[in-house]
Amino acid sequence: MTLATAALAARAAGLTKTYGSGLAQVTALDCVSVQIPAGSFTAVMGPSGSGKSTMMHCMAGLDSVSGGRVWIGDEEISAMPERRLTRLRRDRIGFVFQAFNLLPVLAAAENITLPLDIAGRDADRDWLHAVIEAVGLTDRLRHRPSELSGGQQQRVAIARALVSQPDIVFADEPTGNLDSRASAEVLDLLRRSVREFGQTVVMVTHDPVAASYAERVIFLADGRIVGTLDGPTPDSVLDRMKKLGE
Amino acid sequence: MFRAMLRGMLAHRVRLALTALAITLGTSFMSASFVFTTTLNHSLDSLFAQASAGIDVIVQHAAPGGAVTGAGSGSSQPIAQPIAARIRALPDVAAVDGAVSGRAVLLGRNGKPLPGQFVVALSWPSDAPFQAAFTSRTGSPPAGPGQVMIDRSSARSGHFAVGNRIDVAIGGQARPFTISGITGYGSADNLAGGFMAVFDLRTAQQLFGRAGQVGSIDVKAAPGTSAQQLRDQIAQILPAGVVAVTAASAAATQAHQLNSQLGILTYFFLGFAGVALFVGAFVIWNTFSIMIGQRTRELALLRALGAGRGQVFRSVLTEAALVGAVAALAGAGLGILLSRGLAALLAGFGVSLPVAGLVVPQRRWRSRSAPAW
Repeated sequence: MTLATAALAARAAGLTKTYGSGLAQVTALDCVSVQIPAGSFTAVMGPSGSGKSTMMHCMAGLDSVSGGRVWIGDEEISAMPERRLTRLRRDRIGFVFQAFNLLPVLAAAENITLPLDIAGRDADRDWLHAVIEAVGLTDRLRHRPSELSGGQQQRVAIARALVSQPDIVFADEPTGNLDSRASAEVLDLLRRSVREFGQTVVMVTHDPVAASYAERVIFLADGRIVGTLDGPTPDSVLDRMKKLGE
Repeated sequence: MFRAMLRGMLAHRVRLALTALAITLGTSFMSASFVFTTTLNHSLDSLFAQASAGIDVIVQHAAPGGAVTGAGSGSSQPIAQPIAARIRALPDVAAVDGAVSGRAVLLGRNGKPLPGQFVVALSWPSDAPFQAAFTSRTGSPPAGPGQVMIDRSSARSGHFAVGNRIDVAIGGQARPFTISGITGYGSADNLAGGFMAVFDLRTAQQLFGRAGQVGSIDVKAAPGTSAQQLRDQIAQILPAGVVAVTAASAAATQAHQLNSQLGILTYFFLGFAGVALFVGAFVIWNTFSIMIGQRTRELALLRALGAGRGQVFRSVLTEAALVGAVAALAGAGLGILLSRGLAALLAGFGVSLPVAGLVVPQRRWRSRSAPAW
């Protein structure tokens, strides 16, 4: 990543998302403005229904917006046609899901290179090796997902997100299905990808311990940003969450 | 992307095999029906072409129902026998034969009719060229009032041999005959599923009350004269109400007549094929929907990772095309076997049809290459 630290990996201005219409209208996001600096590790926290997953989906181009604008790098995606948006997701965004979402019929190595296969590109050998070594799966590459533990599967998913060297990685509750030890491994891996590879990571979570791995935490409630916290610790995050609940 | 698809297909072998089975069954029913009906039509055509081999022109009454052979016999209007002598006197005629045909019933040893569709009574042609249609004969042709020649399939089903006594009912009256010979017809053992009783001309005339009359006159042209030329020559000397047609067009007409009688069978099989296709299409559609439904998650993931709508669609389509092509090919092959089984099944029920063409690979190919006949 050669982007200057001052550059933004993603940005949202006045982002609004509503579902339904008339009396049944529900506002999931209410005029959210946020800036994600390149090379940063940001956690998005909030109680369920606060709109944190919706915000991630809108910023990652997986869902359309009702109002406001969203940029990835300097490209506005909120008005992008479907075809270009698909290509942008392929080339410039990485995803990590709560349910791992690996293809069960492909071996670990094939799952990792799947985004490149879809793009019809060859893997950059050195980078691929670096990623596989970083996630610690060198001796597991031929295994099917069903033969791997949850933590190993999520590490495969992270390697898949990193392999195309995207501008930004969105992780949606990446530790939601893992025990505390596997969670720690996965979170450490995400933090190292930021520190060692200069990757930009946005992670949605409701776990204060997970959030404490990030450099900065954004708190959402009722579809609005209600605060930020730099240099979080599990205690300071929990503290802030309690205050939100009051 | 396609690697993922191929892996997926390998991983779900059983599911794919079941889908393929549905396709194979659907297409095999279609293919069996088409092969069977086409072969039947084709066989009838060639049968009548064989039957009229050696005959160039047929002279018959202009009234409808003038078929020389087939189920419509017996109803044909007779014409005076002396016309044959007048035709024989024409310069370009090589051979002339007045023929009588009608309906008869062959009775088995237990006195009951042999199970079959119909029996055609014919007169034995006097000239060698016209005897060519009666193939692979054993014994000798009928001669004299007490003799009859029967076809191979009725001899087989009634356990009759040359020299045996057989009762033949004509006009509701059973009469005893001696079997002088047994014959095939063209490439088949009988006449398009009908049994045959062949008498000499005089006996046939007596039996059907047609003394001095014939049902039709077969004419063979001298070398160098075409059937059309001969037909025109003969037409000039015929009395009113009697017409001359070329044997080729008569054969076509007869084949057409029999085909339209067998039309019900053809429609039955086409309906059968249509139902098979309809049901098959539903089963196939359903199975593929389920397969795609089970993979919604996978396909959504591919879309999230940046696979285009077209890419996902193409991979699903390619999978379907691969399964469809392989299964349909297997179904077409199975259908050919099935159509032979169908012919055997019908024969088992006593409906003997001239489907001999199916076993000849070249003809089988021809019947397949024109399935929309």
